[in-house]
Parts: sequence; structure tokens; C-alpha cells
Amino acid sequence: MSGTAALAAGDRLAAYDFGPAHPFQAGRLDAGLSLLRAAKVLDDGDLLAFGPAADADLELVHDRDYLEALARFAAPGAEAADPVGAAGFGLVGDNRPFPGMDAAARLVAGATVAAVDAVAAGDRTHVFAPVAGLHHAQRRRAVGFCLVNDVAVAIARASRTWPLRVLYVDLDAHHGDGVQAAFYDDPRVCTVSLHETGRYLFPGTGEVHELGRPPGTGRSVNVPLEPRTGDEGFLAAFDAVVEPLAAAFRPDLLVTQNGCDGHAGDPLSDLTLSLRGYRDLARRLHRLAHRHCGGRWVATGGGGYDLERVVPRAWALLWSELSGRRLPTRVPAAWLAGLAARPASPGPGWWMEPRRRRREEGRDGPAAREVEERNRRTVRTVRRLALPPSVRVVYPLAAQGGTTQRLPGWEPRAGRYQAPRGPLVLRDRCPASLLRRLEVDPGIHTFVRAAEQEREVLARIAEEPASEVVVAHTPEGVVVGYVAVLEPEPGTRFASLPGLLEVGAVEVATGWRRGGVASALLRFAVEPDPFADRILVASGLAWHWDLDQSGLSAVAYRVVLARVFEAAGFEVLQTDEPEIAYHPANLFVARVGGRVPPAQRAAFTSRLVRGHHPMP
Amino acid sequence: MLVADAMTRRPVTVAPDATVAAARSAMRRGRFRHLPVVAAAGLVGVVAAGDLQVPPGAPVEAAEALAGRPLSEVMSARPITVWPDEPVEVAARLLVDHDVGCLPVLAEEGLVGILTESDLFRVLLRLLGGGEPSSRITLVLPDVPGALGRAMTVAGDLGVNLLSVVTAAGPEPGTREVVVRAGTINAAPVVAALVAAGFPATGPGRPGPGARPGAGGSPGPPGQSGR
Repeated sequence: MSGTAALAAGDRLAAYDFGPAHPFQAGRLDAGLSLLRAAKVLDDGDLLAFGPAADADLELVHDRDYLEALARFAAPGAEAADPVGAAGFGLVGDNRPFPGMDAAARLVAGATVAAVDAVAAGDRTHVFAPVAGLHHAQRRRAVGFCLVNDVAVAIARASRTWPLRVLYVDLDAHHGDGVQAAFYDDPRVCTVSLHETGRYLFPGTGEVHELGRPPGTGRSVNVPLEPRTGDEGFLAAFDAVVEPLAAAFRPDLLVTQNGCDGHAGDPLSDLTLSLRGYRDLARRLHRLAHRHCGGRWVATGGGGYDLERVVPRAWALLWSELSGRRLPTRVPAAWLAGLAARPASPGPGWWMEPRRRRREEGRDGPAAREVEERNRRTVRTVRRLALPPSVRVVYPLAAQGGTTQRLPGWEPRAGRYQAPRGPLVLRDRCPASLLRRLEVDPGIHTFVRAAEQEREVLARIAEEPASEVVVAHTPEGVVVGYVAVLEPEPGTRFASLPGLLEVGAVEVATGWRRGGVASALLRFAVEPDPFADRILVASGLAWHWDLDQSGLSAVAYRVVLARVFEAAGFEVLQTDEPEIAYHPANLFVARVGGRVPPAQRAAFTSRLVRGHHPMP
Repeated sequence: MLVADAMTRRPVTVAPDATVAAARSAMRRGRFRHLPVVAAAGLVGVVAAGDLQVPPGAPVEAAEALAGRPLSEVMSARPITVWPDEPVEVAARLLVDHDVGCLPVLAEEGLVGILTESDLFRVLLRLLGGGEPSSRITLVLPDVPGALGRAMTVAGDLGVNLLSVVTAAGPEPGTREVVVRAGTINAAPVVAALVAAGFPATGPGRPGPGARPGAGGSPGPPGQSGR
């Protein structure tokens, strides 16, 4: 059955129903499945069998007494008899108990667990569980319509039983707080949530500085976006963060929460996305699953509360992407007629909104530009916190028209270095054409998952006027290490200083480490005379380091890294730059060239400690 | 909310003849920055992390000499203390007025806890409802009796639980600013109902003009200008 998709859904899931006046009601499932059937993209063979989740699985995430409380308050009249007891578990307001709720919640979790099992075992490549993705539920508390955290349960099972490294991508308009909390210290589960900022919106968390706790620091990633972000901004944030994060984390399984409550028509948020945006996101996730996870992808439906215009279409578009089934040109008229029987007006026959110009969307005014600028700042900060420098180099942000400080020319040089494993050639100023002719050692991890681009990456950096690539390759032409010197990313603390450049990446292939290659490369790279006029900076964030490979503690790794830089004339400096100050092992180094004028040097020094808060 | 509810109970303590180095490592282990100094007779002082450092640029020898000195020489003797049954706002006042970072909490039986700046931030977080999943709604109300009550009734009528309500003097004379944390994922109906009832509200469904609070006209809530 390998290579096929499945849908983990059935009419039994309609039991997860807070009642007809509630946003999360039985009608959601019916509305979604009826459209899939009407559009003839769902066969009986597509349906995955599942039952209620087992206690052993639920208890990976929830406390036993909470599960018992769910059962107790599922009995008719139990809540009325003890409303305060129910409220203690969050079973109040949004999460008012309904008869049979524990069985319904277990069934939801069972669907997601079955989805993960089917994908992990290789029975199916992709599975979509539409009534799932209840990402707010906490260890012992119901939150935001979520009684049991089915995604966290399924991820915990995948991580423990199979055991797989899981990348969780949460696109719901609300922060995926429950899933984040469940794996906050777990380095084998990487959670990334793109959501509307919690400044006003529920649940109020999901700020960029929520990075996880040791040993999982850096494995919780949050991209809080402004109200009225729209498709373009949301997709830009996705591209800037999620794809490179997958390359850095190297997951075995992709689990996604595809909540569509960020749609402009949804009553619960103000992100103003469109169905076209959700279709584009589904395409990207699909590509990401194949590029980075061997195709293994479990998608869950998550939130979405416009049950006529949005949710059924969003599910159909996602299912079509994941199953390869083509939707008919128009939304079936019979299905639309069924909607007309309901109070709200029927939607038109299209699957998604027509592509519109920015002006038509009202996205060219000062308010829209302010939204874009704030999101850009957020994304830049997230990238610096969440992505190792070498990955940022491989997945650069689109150029933003900053001033480029062209390095003055010098004759390309070649040097030799005798590594313990064999002789190496060091070269700078490599023309792109030469780089395209070199092979890349598979031990350079950053490039391995960038598959089709691996050679292009170095060539592309070399073509940038202000950047410089220095490589170490074997006489046979296999690159085993490189140093990239680049312009600092705009918006960072030192970016606006004239003449300042950043050592964006130093990477040596796993098989060639501990042989002085990094040191030799770096020393060779900074030798040319023009660097005497420049300030070079580099930063190291402990959670980006390949500690598993090296077998070193973060503190020991810092010492090694500091030595490599010091050998090339860099100096370790103290700074209150928040990214560096976040972790005691983080490192900031600089090399101020001999001809840098005193005023420029002083301007640099004065920025080291600024004592204010530039995180967005 | 009393000092006893907010303080750290049974704090780690050090003896006055312990060295600066020993206090430093106790702070590193426990991840805190204030230590009560306790002798046989009871509390004799406090040391803060800053008391255990040499000034930046001091010679290495000075740092080494400091590490070996007893705490009795570097501590703040006769520290400002507080009773466990004082309200937290009294403790906050003491911290501000005396410009200190912690208050040892003394009861009849002796030292029972320590209240630090961090503990008060936790109180602030609780007061503002930021520790629980919730939606945020801000309002500017006329500063007259009954206005706050009428506005909050709107939420109650919709069956929405309010986790916290904080009010302060508003941006204009005669107004009060109110920050509400509502325990619901579905807060847009509350915001809409408030607006319909004549209370200008900002929150989910009505994020206000522009993205930046205050950028488009109406003043935003305090504390966000530095974001």
C-alpha cells in the first residue's frame, strides 16, 4: 500500500460536538466530508480504520486524574452537580462538558494515532485526519475546544514507539501552545507554530523568545504574525522559517496542524488569509514532506469555524493535494444546493478566491506596510534564533535592497593544508563556474537535505557582490569545508555599521572534523589585505551546535569554537545582544582590522552593550 | 494577595563565615540572585549577586581576593524585611522606596521566606492573566461609578469567564483604561457586544487601526511601545 494517502475520519467523529450554537460542532465533520463525497475525491478504500486511543498513549501527554475527570463529567448531569470541580479542569465556557465527551475525545486521538502508525509503518505515505489537531489541550486542563491533545499524543507515540524525529508545523491562527508545552524540553521533537500574535488573540503565548528548555532549547519555534498579515506575508514567513528549519532539524516525520481559522471569513482571527493561501501552504508542506521526511506526513484539520464558505473547501484542497485526487473545476452544485437549506447564504462555485492584486486587497496603504515591516522584523529574529548560520546561508532571505559593500578585488589565491586525513586545497574568490564543477562531501549536513541545490548554494553566495566563499577541497575536487563571509542580515544590531561583515558560516564535513580544517580555513580566509579595513563578527548560539556528533558539552564546544576564531585573530567579546545573552554558552567574536579608523572601532564597541530590548 | 502567597518558601541560606565563592556557586546551582545570610541567632544580612562581583576592569588579583572573603564583609547587614501577612503592594513599596532587590520574610519563628523582584513579576503576571490561555481585550471607559460593572456584565451575559481585569487611569482625564483577559478562544463576540453596548473595545475581531497600538490614532495599552 506504500505510496498511497488515507483519510482518518468517519461519521463516528461527529460525536465530538459541543452543541449547535458552538463553533466546534458536529456539523463541521458533515460539512467537510459531504463535500469530499460530492466532489468524488473520496473512496471507501481511502478511509483508515481507527478506534479510541489507548490509556497508555493518552497518558504520554495527560495525567490520569484528568482523563478520569473527562469520563466523570461526560455523564449527563455531572457538571451541574459539581460546576467548580469541572471548571478546575477547564471544563467550563468554551469547553462545557457534553454527554459522551470522553469517548469522543478518545476517538479523535485514536484517529491521529492511527494516522501516525500507518505512516510510520509505511502502510500509507500521507494521512489526513480532519477532526483532529486539538493543539491547545494541556496535561490536565481542557483549553480552547480541545479536550485531549491528539497531536501531542500521536507525536509522543511516534517519538517513543517508532522512534522517529518529528517536525510539527502548526498553521492554525492560534498558537499551538499545548503541543509546544508537551515537548518543550524534548530535542527530538521540533515544534514550529505560525500564528496571529498573542497580543490580543487567544491563547496569548507564542512569542519568539519561547525557544524551549534544555535539552530541547531551540526546538520550539514561534512566528507571531500581525493581524491582517494576509497570504503573501504568511507564505513569506513560512518560506523563510519552515523549510530551512526542516533542513536543519532533519526530521523523519512531518506532523501538521492545518487549522484554517486564519481565513478572512473566519470569525475567530484577523490574519485575513484566503483559500488560495491555504492551498499554497498545503503544496509547500507536501514538497517539504518529500524533501525532508521521506514523504511521511500526517496532517490534522485543526481550527476553522466558517462551516459553509471555508472549512469544507480548505479540507478538500488539502485532501486533494495530499491524495493527488483532482478536484472538479467547480464546487459541485448539488453540494451548494444542500447549503442553501441552511440559514447562511450559499457560497459561489469556486474552490478558492481569484488571485487579486495588492491594491484590490487594500494592501498598499501605510497600515499594510507597517504590518509587513513588523512581520519582516519578527521573521528575521526567528531565523537568527532558530536556524544555524550555515542553514541561513543556504536558505537566504530574498534581498531587500540594502546597500551592498562590495569587497575590493584581490587576486584569487590557493593554499595547501595537510589534514590528518589527507591533503586539502584552500581557495578563495572562487568563480561560480568553478564551484559548480566541484562535488560536495555528504558529511556537510547543511547541504545534504538541500539536495538539488547543493552545488548551487556555494555558487550563489559567490555571485553576491559583498560575499566571499572560501572552500577547502580535496585534490579530487570534493569540498569538505567552507567559510562564508557575508553582509550582516538587515535589522540586526551591527548591520548598519559601515564596513562590517559577518562570518555567516564555518562548516567542515563530519569525516574531516578534529583535523584543524576549520582553523586553517578561517586563517586563510581573513589573510587578504582588504580585511584590514573591515570589522568581522561572528556569533554562535549553543543550540545550533552539532553536540551529538562532537560528543562535547555546550561549554566545551564553546571553548573549541573560541580557539578556532582566536587563531584567526578574532577576540571573544561580551555583549548584551539578546540572542547571545540568552544562553551562557553562546559566543560572540569579532576581528577589527588593523586599518579600521578609531571612530569606527568606537562605534562598534559602543554597540556591544546597549542595555535595551531590540527583540520584536 | 499577601507576601506569604508570593514569596519563595524555605529559601537556601548561607552562614556569615561562608566565602564569596561558596555563595556564588550556591546562586549558580539554585539559579537565583539573592541569598539570606543566617547565623545561629537568626537573619544577619542578605547578599545579592552584585555584591559578589568585582567592578568591570578590576585586576584579576582583586577578583581572586574577593572570592576568598567571608560574606559578613560583603553582605548588606540589617536588611529591610517584611512580614508574611503584609499585602504584596506593601512589599513592592518597600522594594521601590529602599531600592533593594529582595526582602527576607520574617515571622515570629524567624526567617520563613524571601520575596524578590522576580516573585513580584510572577504576581504581576497572575494579575494580568498572562499565565493562562486567554484572549486580551482593552477598553477605555468613562471614569464614573458603574461603567466598569456595566462593561463587564456584557461578557458575563455571553457566558464568558474573565480571568483578570486590571484598570488604571486612562489616556485622557476622566477616562479609565481597562485590560481584560477573557478565558475564551472565541472573543470576537465579546468585543462586538462591548462595542454595540457603547464601550469602544480593541481585541480579536477589532485589532484596531494599523498593526501598532497607537500608530493609527487611538492610544494603545501601555508597555507596548518598546516592542
